[in-house]
Amino acid sequence: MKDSFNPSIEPPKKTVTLVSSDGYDFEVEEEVALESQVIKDGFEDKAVDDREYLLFNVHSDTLELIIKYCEKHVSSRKSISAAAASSSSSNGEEALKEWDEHFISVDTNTLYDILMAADYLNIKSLLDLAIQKVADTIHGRSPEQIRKKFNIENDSIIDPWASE
Amino acid sequence: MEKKQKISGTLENLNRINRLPVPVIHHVLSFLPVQEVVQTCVLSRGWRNLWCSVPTLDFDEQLNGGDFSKFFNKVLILRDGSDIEKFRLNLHQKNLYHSNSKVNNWILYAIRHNVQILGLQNTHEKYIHLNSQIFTCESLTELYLYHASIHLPESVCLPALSVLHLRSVYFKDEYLDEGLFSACPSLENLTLENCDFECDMLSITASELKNLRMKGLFPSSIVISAPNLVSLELIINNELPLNLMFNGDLKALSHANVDVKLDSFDLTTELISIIKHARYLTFSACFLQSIISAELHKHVPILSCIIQTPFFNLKWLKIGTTFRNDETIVINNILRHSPEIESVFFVNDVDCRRMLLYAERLLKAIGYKMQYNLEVYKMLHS
Repeated sequence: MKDSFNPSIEPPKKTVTLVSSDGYDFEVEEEVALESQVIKDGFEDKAVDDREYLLFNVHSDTLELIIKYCEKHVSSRKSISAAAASSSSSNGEEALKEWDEHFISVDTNTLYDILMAADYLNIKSLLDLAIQKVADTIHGRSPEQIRKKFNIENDSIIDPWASE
Repeated sequence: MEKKQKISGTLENLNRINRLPVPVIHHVLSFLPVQEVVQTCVLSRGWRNLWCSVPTLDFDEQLNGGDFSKFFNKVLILRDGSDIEKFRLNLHQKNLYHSNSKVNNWILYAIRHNVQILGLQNTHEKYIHLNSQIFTCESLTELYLYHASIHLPESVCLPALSVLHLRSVYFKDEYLDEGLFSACPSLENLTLENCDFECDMLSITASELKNLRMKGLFPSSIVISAPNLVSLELIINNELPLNLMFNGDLKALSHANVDVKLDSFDLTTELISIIKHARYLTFSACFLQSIISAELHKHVPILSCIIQTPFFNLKWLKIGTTFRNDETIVINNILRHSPEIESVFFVNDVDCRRMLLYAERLLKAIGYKMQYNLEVYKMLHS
């Protein structure tokens, strides 16, 4: 294993600070924060000692979940590529999928918070995961069931499907 | 205070989907088939026109009870004129009699609305013949065709196309030398699977191509110029040996999977030297035979060509073998000239006992000296 790094000579991990809308600081590793395309885009222009991001649209409860997601994905990516190099079969991706599935099984309110945060921070895989979850709620349901599910008030004057 | 917040939180929850920004709702709807997208128009007034501008149209005929083409035409008429990002057409119809022109009209609609990703899946036994407009669509970035026939126009122009997957596609052209691939300067990902060709020679020229996958029957002559390939899969089932040539070296190659029967010693040698940079290699039993028969035919030990071009980067080798003596000699030699090798897999669907015996012998012969993990698997053909 030539590629594997030696932890003793690894420089201390660089971190950035994410500040939630309710004013809490979260210190995370650089590569975890870079999962967000928005942070990544402006990253190089920022001075090293000024790596603080104010996330006006993300509440601390949500930010905690988002960071958990990003940390998991960064670490699994590493272990998956390490596994791929050493043997043909790795079930790392399967395991990650399962983890994702579990992660996104949250109440509707939290789901929307995650969705909006993933959209705001532009974290594509998380956005897709949350969107898929919302789409699943619509998929295969009748309009009446969807209304119920999302509490949409039927204010249409004529409902052409109601008679069916 | 906290309690109050919680209550208002639940109230907000009641209709939060309505308050999502339109692009996000569009994104949600793009994960659904068109039938369900259109249905959302009856949810409430706010939803009535949302579906009209969804940039993804995913038509699956199987999900439609009534007259599919009538429904489809209506959707296309009623939606607003906004651009289409993704257009997928999944046809299962039993009667294809007059629908070639219909299908082409639908695709033309997508092309006129600057479609970026286009997929046509047709599970009917008859091909759908595609008009040539599709080959001059400048917005197209990904094209997936399954079970269609095509006739290339005089000039193909697909400047943005990066992914091209053609499965079970019938090429009616008698010449495929220059036409298609060199007119796709951005092509990175090409799959040709179980296609039918009228031409005798297939030429693939694509300077940006990274992944090439070829599977099935092909013209007897193939020329590939793709200097930036990272992954190459050649699973070619032609009865007769193939005339396969590469232009230039493949310096960036990382993965190669070779299952071909080649025409001559020179072609075999050339292919081996072309894939020598790979880190992950898969050789079928058929290709191993190709190496051996080339050697016998020319009375030149092919080992010499391997010695000239050691597999410097090879870490992982999977090889199909029946463990005949001549095969094991070739395998030993490949391994001996692969200083970085870490794992070896043998594929054999019958003889497990011989495999273990051989693996033991191989370990004794070279394994201890070279410090690699030898793994033996019995694999069954599916």
